[in-house]
Formats: sequence, C-alpha cells, structure tokens
Amino acid sequence: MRAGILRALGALLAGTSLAVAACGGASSGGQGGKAAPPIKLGMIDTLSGPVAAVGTDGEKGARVAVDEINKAGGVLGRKLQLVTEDEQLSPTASVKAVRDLNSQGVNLLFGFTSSADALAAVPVVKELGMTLVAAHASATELRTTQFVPNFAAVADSDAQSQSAAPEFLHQRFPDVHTWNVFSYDYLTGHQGWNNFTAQMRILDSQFRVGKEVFIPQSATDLTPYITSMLSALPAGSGTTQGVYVFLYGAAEVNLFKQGAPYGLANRFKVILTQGGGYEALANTLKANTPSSWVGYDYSYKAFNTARNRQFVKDFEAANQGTPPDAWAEQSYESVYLYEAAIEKARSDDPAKVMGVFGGLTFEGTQGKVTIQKKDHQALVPQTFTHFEADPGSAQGWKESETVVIWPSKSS
Amino acid sequence: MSVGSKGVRSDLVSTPGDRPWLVALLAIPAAFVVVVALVGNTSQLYFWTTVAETVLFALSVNLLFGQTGMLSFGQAAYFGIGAYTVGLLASRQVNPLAMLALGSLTGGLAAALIGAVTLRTTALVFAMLTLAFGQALYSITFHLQAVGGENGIVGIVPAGIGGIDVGQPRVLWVFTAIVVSIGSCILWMVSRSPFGRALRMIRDDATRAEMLGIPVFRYRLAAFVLSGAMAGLAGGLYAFVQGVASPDSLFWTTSGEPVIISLLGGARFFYGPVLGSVIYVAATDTLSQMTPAWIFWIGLGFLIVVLLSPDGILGGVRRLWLRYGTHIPEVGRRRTP
Amino acid sequence: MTAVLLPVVNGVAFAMLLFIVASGLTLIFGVMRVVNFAHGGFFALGAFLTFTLAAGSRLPMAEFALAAVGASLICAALGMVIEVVVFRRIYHLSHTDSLLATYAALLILQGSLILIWGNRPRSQPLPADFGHAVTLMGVQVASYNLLLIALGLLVAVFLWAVLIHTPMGRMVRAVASDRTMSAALGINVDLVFTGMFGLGVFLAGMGGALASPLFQLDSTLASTLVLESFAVVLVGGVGSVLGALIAALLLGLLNSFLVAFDPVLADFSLYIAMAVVLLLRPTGLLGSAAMESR
Repeated sequence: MRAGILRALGALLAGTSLAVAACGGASSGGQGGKAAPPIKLGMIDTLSGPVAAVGTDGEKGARVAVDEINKAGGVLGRKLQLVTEDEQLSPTASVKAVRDLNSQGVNLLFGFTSSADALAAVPVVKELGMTLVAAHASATELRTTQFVPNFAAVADSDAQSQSAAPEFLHQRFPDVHTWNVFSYDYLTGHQGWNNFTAQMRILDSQFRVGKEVFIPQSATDLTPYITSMLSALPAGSGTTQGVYVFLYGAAEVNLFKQGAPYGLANRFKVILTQGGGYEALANTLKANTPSSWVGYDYSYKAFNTARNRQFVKDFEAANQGTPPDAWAEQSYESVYLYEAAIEKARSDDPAKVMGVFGGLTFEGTQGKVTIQKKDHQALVPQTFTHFEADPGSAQGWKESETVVIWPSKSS
Repeated sequence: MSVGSKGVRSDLVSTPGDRPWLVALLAIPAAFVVVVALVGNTSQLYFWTTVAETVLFALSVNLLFGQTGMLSFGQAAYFGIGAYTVGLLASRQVNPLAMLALGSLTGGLAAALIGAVTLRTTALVFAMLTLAFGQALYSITFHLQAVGGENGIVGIVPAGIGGIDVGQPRVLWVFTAIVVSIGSCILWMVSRSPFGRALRMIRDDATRAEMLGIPVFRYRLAAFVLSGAMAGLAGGLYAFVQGVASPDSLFWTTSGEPVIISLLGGARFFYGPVLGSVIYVAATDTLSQMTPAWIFWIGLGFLIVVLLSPDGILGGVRRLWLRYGTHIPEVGRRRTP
Repeated sequence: MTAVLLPVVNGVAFAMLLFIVASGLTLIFGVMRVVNFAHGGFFALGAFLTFTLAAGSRLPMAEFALAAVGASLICAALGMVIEVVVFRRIYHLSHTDSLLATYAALLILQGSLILIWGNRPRSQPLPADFGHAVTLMGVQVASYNLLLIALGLLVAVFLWAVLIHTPMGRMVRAVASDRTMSAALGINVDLVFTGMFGLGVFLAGMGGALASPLFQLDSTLASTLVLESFAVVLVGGVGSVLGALIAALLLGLLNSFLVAFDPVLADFSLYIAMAVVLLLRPTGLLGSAAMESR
C-alpha cells in the first residue's frame, strides 16, 4: 500500500518535472543548456475593417524581418517573437491593446495606422514604461507637442513628406504653377495643404493656389465636390495644372470612380497623392487606375541596397511573388530598428532601449538610417512613384518609375 | 411575452422589507470591487473599469428606454459632453470629483435644452431628432480645433485627491466603482420612487397616464435631464479610464450601444443593463481579437438571445426561475394567472 | 441656367438612388410596423452580389442589368427566409423590442460580407455604355446619373401602380391600415408580410446594385446610406412612397446646392432639413397620424 503510494507519488513527481521542464523554456532565467527566452515585440496595427491592408501587410513585413533576424542567430543570442493586437482604428481599442500587451510582458511596441490612435496610446506607453515605434502614423504632434522619449518613428513625419513633394514636383514639372487640392475636411488635411503651399511658394515664384475642395469624412456622394472642382478649372488645365489629393481609403477610390465619367483624371497634367496604400487603390480600380504620382516612404523598386534586395527577395518568397508595399516595409524597418536598439543597449529592458533611440543608426532598406536625437524621427527619403493603368497585364496596373528625394533639411 | 396592464410587472427585483436580500445585493458587488482591486492585473483592471463606466451609461439610457419608453439615439451627445468637459479641465489639476460633477452638469444642461425642443413629438420623430442633434454635435466637435478636432483630447489623467493618485489603475478602479455605485443608487431610488412608477405608467400608456393627472411632458423632460446628467458622469469616467476624449464618443453608434446592451440584458429590469454591459464588453473585446468577421458572431449571439428570450437574458432567467424555482421572493405586484 | 443644371441633375440622381433604398424601408415600416435596421445590410449585399455576378468587369448594359436584378432577387429570397424564420417570432413585440432582432440581422449581414468577400475592398466598373458624360445644354452630365433618374422614376411609377391599382396592392394597403381586420376578412396576413419584406429588401438590394459602380465595396457600405434613408422615411412620412420620393429629392437637391454654394453648411444640411420638417410636421410630409405612437 505504502509502496504503491510512493510509486504513484514518484510517477507524479517525474511527470510534473517533465512537464515543467517542457514549459520551462518560456520562463525567465532558463536553466543551463536551455535557450534564453525570446524577446517579444508587440505589433498594434489595423487588422480588420476597410483599411485592414495596412496591418495585414505590415504584419507580413514584420514577420519577414523577424525570420531573417532569427535565422541569423537572433538578437543578443535570443530569438525574436512577434505578438500582434488589432488597433481596430479606434483610440480606445488601441489603449486597451497597449495595456493587454503590457499584462503579457510585451513592452516593445510598434505599428499604428492612425495618428489619432498613436496619440491616444503615447501617454499610456509612457505611464507603463514601454516603448513605441510608429511604423505608419505620421502626425507632427507625435514629434513635437506630444513627444516622449519612449517614442521613435520610422515613418516620415507629415511635415517631412509634405515639404519633399513640392521639391519633387518643381523639379520634375517646372511648368506646372497652379495647384488644386482635394482633401478631407479635417485638421490634418488643412495642415498638410498648408505645408505643401508654403513650401511651393518658396520654390516657385509663379506658384498659384487653384481650387481648394475639402470633403467631409462622412460624405458618400462625392459628385457635388467633383463638379465643384471641375467647374473651377479652366479649359486647358489638363496640360497646365496639377492636383494634390490628400484623401485615403474609400474616398480616394470613390473620387476616381465617380469622377471617371467626367474624365476627372485627365483634367490635370499631374495628380500627386501623398500617403501609402496606393497599391490597394490600384488593385481595387485595376485598369481604371488613374495615372498619378504617389509620394510616400517606400517603393520596392526605389532602392538598390543590399538590405532592400534581401527584403524584397524574402518577402516575395513568403508571399507568392507579391512584392512588398510601404506598409510592409515600415513594419520591417521597425523590427530592424529594435534589433539595432537592443544590440546597442545590450538589453531588452524598455528603459534602456529608449535611452539609445537618439542618434541610433542601422541598415534600413533605404541605406543607412539615422534616428534624430531631438525627436527620434528616422531620417528617410521620400519616394515618388508613377502609377498607371496597364490594361494588358493581369493586375491591370503598374509602377513605371520611381524617384527618390532625400530631405534637404531636417524638420 | 410583452408586459401589458395585466401580468407580472417584471421591472423591480425586490420589494421593501426584504432586507436580507438588499444586504446581499450590496455586499456582493462591494466584495467584488475589493477582490479585483487586490488581485487584478492591468488588463483585468482596465476591463472592469471599462465595464463600470459602461454600466452607468447603459443604466442612464435605460432610464429613458426601458423605464419611460423613450428611444433616444443621441445619448452619446451628453456622454461625449461629459468626456470633453473632463478632458478640457484635465490639464488644470482640478479635483477629479469636481470635474465629474461639472461633466454631469453640462450633460444635464444640454439634455434640458435638447429635450425641451424634441420631447413634444412622436416616438419615432423623437428618436430621429435626438439622432440628428447628436450627429450635429459630432460634426461640430470634429471640426473644432479648440477641442482637438479629429484627434480629440489625449493624455487625460485624473489629478490626485488628498495625496492619493487617482490615475493609478487600482485606485482608478475603486474610484470608478464608487462613483458608478452612487450613480446607480440614485437611479435605483428614482426607479423605486413614485416618480419612477409614473415613468413606467407613461411607458405603458401615455394617454392614460395623462388622464390620470401625470404631467407627461414635464416628467419625460425630467427623466431626459437626469439621463443626460448620468450620461455626462459616465462620459467623464470614460475620459479618465481611456485617457482620451475623441469625436468617436459622440457618434450615433456610441448612442446605440447602451440601447443594445439594455435589450440584451433585459430592458424591463433595472439590472438588465448591468448584465448586458458585462456580456457586451467581454464579447466584443475577446471576439474582436479573434477574427476579422467578429461582428457576424456578435450578431448571431444577439439573434439567439432575442429568439430564446425576447425580453433579454434576465427575462429568460426570470421565466426559468418562476417555472422551476420554489420559494422565491415576491416579484412585483401580481402573479401570472 | 447652366450653372444650376449640374447640381440639379446630380442632386436628383443621388436622390433617386436614395429613394429606391428608402422606398423599401418605408414599405416595410408602414405595412409591418417593423423598423428594419438590417436594410443597410441588404443594400451592401446587393452591391457585393452584383460585383460577383458581373465578375468585377465592365459589362454591356443588358448584362449589368441582369446582374443587378439577379443580385436583388437573391437579396429578396434571403430576406424572405429571414422574415419567416426570425421576424415572424417578434411581431408581437413593440417597435423597440424588435430593434435587437433587426440590428442582429444587420450585424450578421455585415459580418457575412467579410466572411465571404474578405477585407480587401472591391470595385465594380460602370456599365460599358454608361461610362461617359453626355452634353446637355452645353454642360457635361454623367450618363449614368441620367440612367439613375430614369430608373428611380420607373420604380416610383411601378410602386404607385401596384399599390393603388392592383388587387394585390389593395390587400397590402388593407393590412397596413388594420392588420386584425384584414385577417378577419380572410387576407393571409403572413403571406403579405413575407411578400412585402421581400419587396422592400429587393429594393434595398437594387439600390445597392445600382450604387455598386459608384462606391468602393467594403463592409462599411452597410452603413453608407443608413442615416439618409431613415431621414427620408421620416421626413416623407412613414409608409408613404410618394413622401419618400419628395423627401429624397429635397435632401438630394439641398445637399447638392449647399456643396456648390456653401460647403461648410453642407455637412449639417441633412440634420437641419430633418429637424425643420419634423418639428413643423411630425408625421412627415405625407404621413398619417395613424402610423405613429404617441
């Protein structure tokens, strides 16, 4: 009887220790011979809803980076592990995601589609002693009035991108002096247009503001706004004027769909859109994609660095030959930023990691990337890519040319 | 079955004199608050604090909806006003209780203004007008740079009270739970009072109530103002919990949620919105992280509830209790025939 | 004259789209006393189904029409199934209690869009013969908008003809005005209800089909015309198809002109119009007091 109990206890003890040993790898301070625990990176991005492309493409890019780094031995001898949460394009869901990750011991965050969500998250990140690398969100406030040392940005700030666009346009289309605008009727939209016009005025003495059409975000029928623009344009605008389109998502698609019968796209010599995700618009409109120049941080054809070649190759291999878009690249870059920061700080403790953000340099897809000391902004160039319809091809559109503009001054 | 002039009034759970039940009703939540405060991690504290302010908002809406029979699609207006009031004062280190009181006051005032205009109409028109006013306020707030435009006000942290840091998650939870309890007590006492009974009479048959001498318009307005004030209070708490006051909080879908929550839990029960809040917040939180098509499953869940128990979960629970329970406290005034 | 032509044509075109959707809503409301919160879901479903039936390609008008009708019929069939299986159990409830059921149906429909079509937005091109603008009195007008105006009028005439001049229509109006009496007179109320819900949802789906070349197709399409269609139903008077037509025209033209001449006010125009009409005439322009509850 006693022997039986002892044997049972022994078996229980053996079984338990086996189970503990099996799970033991996950606990902190692993035993000798066992691998050190992975370093967890938390991605908060939009994984559902109409702009889910941002988060899902971002996740793909991040995973490529994590796999590359792990294959090369990891960071500080530890593997990287990605944990994801859905931002849901809601400030409250974002704040909740930050707290959820904190509870799981994940304190190195990146991502954020929406500036409003990032702005809501930053105070909580600071309160909980975490770090946040903005991959997509670009509001200038994140680097100025709402700046905290826990924050760093891989994405170009609005101010940077909006001053690069006039530089490119004036260089490339020196005979276009009048610019019109379609933008959402909100603070970011007005600020963006003001930055654009201010810089244009400096570069081009003949610059004139054409028709300004600001569209409320709730508007579904855009025809009145389209006709408002069309009636203000002179007859020859198709060869002399340009338009700055500062919309995103459904409104941009709807603008071109509802404008198609009027030949809206042809009433301008140049259409400039600022912002990522144009591939999604092109995939939606296919052969009806208007000929436009898209300014954003990245285009896969823009850079011939070793890092970018590796990125495109690994991404295409993991995604059935589809090349990466800017969303994927920004998340990829965020992971590499963390790799460099953790290496330099010799630790994954957020307090130490944020201490090395300022002045950090690492190999990005664009070449050597430096993080500015004063606002932890990555100094990356703007790419301007020409998108146009390609009715013969399967996908219906193509990127025919890319120009890279490095910032002439930091903002 | 819908409740008409005959049949059991299922709106109140206990009758005067049932002290032991009352004590139990109060002790359980109190113990719960303490347990969560001591044991909960950041996520759990955040979850329950969110549930608490949702409960208060839902109770305030159900005062109008379940008790007075008024469907308003614009309660988010007062909720949002409360949130923004707190948000605007947050940087000035004002006492959090004072901020909440002001949020409640502004919510109530706004409700008085809008109520005066919209309450003299039919039920459907009232619903539509409250929606219109709510949306108009949303539009204004979205464009007003002074209150942060589309980003709203961020980084809202409650100031301390007498040296205690109210912003600390555990303290904030206890603080929120206390404020919500006080608000719920007020609403409970209102529902138990003659005024509350009059509201329910108005819900069941407004013409008859008028003929019985109840000043229908004035009582409805009073309920509307009280509801707005409580919504403003809930909005203020929301601002503390989320740290953000954004235009989203004024959108008509924010007005719809407490109505759905009340229906889910049981609109004719005082505790319906309480149960509904817990289920709704838990369901949306977990499901939204599980699949991009999560609204499908939420919808399916609601449908099942409606088909099985049209008067909400508590309605179904009560029916089961009546059928299978033996010695139960008298529920309401009359028994089913 | 020419300065007003474009806002008028475009305002009326949008109004017609709105009318087609709202007419379905007002019929369901008026006959069955049900606030169909799921209406927007059927609108979106109609659009997505059209996209799938048309394979997202630029079709000749005849084939596009087939795809649109097919999509609307599927919506109607689905709607009738939902009516029999779900809604029949909730008719004894008041307006407010049936809210949860129709709202649940909306969520299910919206979720189905994501389950079936995924998250990436789609786009359906305009039909081949209607992709361009025609010159009317020296002004360029999108021909698709002219088509929308014609179709809207057709729907209005059809509904008027059926409801006023056919025995079936009389039956429907009888049920709308007094359900119990009609049943007592031997009218199969259940059948009328199912049929009317099917018709209402068919109209929602048709609206979606016609809207599919104008909007990006994503799950938020379900809430796209919701506020506007409810506004039209209430401003026009619950249950009145003619009222819905007039209200839709009012709102469409008002929005169109405000955007052209005072864009800042345009954002509020819907709410202003609604508030003014409803406060002055709570039963709506052509509604009857019998439909309201105090």
